[in-house]
Amino acid sequence: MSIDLAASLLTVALAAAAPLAVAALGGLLTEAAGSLSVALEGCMLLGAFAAAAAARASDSVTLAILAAIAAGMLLAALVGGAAGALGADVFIAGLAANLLAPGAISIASQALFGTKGVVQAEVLGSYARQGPLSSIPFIGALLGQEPLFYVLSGAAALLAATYSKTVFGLRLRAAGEGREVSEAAGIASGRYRFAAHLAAGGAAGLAGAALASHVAAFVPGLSAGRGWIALVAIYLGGKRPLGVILACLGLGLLIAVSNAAQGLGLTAELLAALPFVATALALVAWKRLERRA
Amino acid sequence: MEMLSARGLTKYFSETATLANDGVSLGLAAGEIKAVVGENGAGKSTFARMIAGLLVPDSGALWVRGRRLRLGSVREAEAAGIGYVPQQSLLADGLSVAENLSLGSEQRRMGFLFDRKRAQVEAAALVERFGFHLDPGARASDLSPPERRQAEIARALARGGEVLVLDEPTSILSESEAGSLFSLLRRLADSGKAVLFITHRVAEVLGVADSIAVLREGRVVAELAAGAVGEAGLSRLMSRSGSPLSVGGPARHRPESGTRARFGGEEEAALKVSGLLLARGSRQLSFSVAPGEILGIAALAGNGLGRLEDYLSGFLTPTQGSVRIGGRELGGIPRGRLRAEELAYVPADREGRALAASASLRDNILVLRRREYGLVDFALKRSLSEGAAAMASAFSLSTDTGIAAGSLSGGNRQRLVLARELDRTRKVAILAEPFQNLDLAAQESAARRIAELAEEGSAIVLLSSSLDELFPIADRIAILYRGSLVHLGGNEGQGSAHALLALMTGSAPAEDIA
Repeated sequence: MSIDLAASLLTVALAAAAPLAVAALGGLLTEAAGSLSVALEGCMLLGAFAAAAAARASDSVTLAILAAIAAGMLLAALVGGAAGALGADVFIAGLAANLLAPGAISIASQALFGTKGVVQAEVLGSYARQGPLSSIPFIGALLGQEPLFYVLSGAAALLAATYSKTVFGLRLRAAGEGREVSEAAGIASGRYRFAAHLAAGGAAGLAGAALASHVAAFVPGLSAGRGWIALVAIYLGGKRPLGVILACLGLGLLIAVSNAAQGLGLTAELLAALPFVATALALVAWKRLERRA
Repeated sequence: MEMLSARGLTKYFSETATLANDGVSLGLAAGEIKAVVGENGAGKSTFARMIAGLLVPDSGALWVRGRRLRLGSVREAEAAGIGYVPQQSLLADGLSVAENLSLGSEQRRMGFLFDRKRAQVEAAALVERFGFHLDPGARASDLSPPERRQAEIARALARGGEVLVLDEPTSILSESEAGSLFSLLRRLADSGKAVLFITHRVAEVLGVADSIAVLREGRVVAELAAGAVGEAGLSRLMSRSGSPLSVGGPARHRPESGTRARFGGEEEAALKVSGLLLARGSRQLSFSVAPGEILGIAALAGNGLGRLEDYLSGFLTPTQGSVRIGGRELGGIPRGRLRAEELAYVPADREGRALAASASLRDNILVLRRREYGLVDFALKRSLSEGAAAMASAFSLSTDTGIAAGSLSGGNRQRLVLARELDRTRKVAILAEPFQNLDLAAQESAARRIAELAEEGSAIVLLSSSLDELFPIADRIAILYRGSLVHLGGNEGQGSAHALLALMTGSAPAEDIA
């Protein structure tokens, strides 16, 4: 029983960690470029809605995912454009995007589906069904994940590699060191910064699609602060790809634990707050350790 | 053959309404080291940045080996073989030395992957070839100041640098470090490169350059062969008035002992440091400075001078030992009153600690005096502006105090900080590298002002990496080595330089300080 419980916890943890990691790694690119996007939450939510809408219209999960990525990029382009070309504060622009997203979704939802509430999209669920190998304990947690998990893992790997293995990633990190530094190397930092925002938006949009497919629908407030937790994961992971992934796995485990404990009949609100409380504690502990070092 | 030829480069800055370069023409041959000298604000950096492609000239032309360059393009300048070493380090701190070297023209695999291994190998080869002491894998943020300079030069060379343009390359280096930099430049010139370096330090020009160009108010006022002019003559050419610098020659004069009040007793100490620990394993540090006394503390980079500055200025609160001003613990004095009345502080890190780059000169000057004017200063705005303008002009700064501090040149930023901190007598003055980036004339007026403040009863601590800056005005001189005080005694002038330098470098045993 306890082995079963641990194994199923692991399965849920990985499933929760994957979208988080994708969004966080996207955010890491903007952080590296010196223009951290706080719009991940909004991009996630918009991505989730776009996925549901596209899935209903086309019955294609692939198209739904592409739509989610495009929607996330669109919102991120607004933020990146405002911060870059218009010189707005990137934090304020990101906040604005987060406030804009739910409103825009509710208008679009009313117009398209006649409801401001849940938008069902059954076909999305098909990508979130666990594979036949999932019954093997532990290994099954990895091998038996839903197809979407592997898409997300691939995206995470791609983002991590972009950060540390490509010329683009190197220049991105140089752009984060200031305009003068990159210009002295003949690099137009603004363009790289904008590209980082686009990548982060697309990543968050994809993460949103994953959230929607877990419940086979778009639900208002679906992202539930995951975009903010992704931001925390960037710092918790020491602003390095591997660290960010590990931080997301840890946070995913917390989410799984709080989900499981809800089944045991403990106060749901309290448990739902667990990942946030743990995050706050982890940040405090981290700062302490950092100061001592 | 002329390697580099600049013709009529002109640049006008509308924000500050200055004609920074007014038709500057210079030539540079292969194997030649040319120094471009001038006072602060003479337009030296502007000239260098135009050659490097970082600034677009309003008019003029640039040839490299007979080929005319498109102006204002870093890539084109690099492709033509111009390597630029800026005044303020432009290494990306988070990247390794090798990554910094390859940035902008990266070694690639499959078109988009960064070939880190090849970048490392090529960086190592370059480092080896020019005899740098650098680890290509080290992070830029972990480099010491001389290593940083080397990395910058290596970077300039990695970009096919046939022509090296260095802007104030020695400003962050100690004397011995500057010496080895110059022998490196000489080796590079001997291997056929052309070197153009910019400086306001007249003494270093004479030893190194083959030829010298003097810039004044944006124009070339003289081009000379090395040896055609002495230190005094060069200073005269640089100075705006074109006249001898000051009555009594270029040396800063220490007031005769006795003209300044002296206090020996511990009770009267204005600044008292006891039991301070600068680094693990170093000895505890204790000294006191009396009102009217100037204590000079010298150390080479990395020996605890920066940490001492942090403690003396109250930037850090010591966990061991104490710093007291007028008998009170520094940390216990309210910050606003401390800075307004008790402590003048010129940090070595001006950009980070002393100036708000986007704020105006006026606001930067008046930030310490806001208590006098109260919260509502609308009615006073006019008189405030006039007061700030007067202070600014006392240090020959622009009297348009509305412009942003960040638009000033490096030397003028230092003048601005000095103008603010030395405007009145405070109990204690902590001055870190106060003469850095200043030209000779400004150094002199700063030194005169410091001596005046001492006469009026300030206790002054000068922190410097250069003994030469301390000899002319310090009453006592202390030496820090590896965080410990290894010497503290009266100022015996230039004659003691050799012995003191030995202490600074650790080649002489530490003295016992009572």
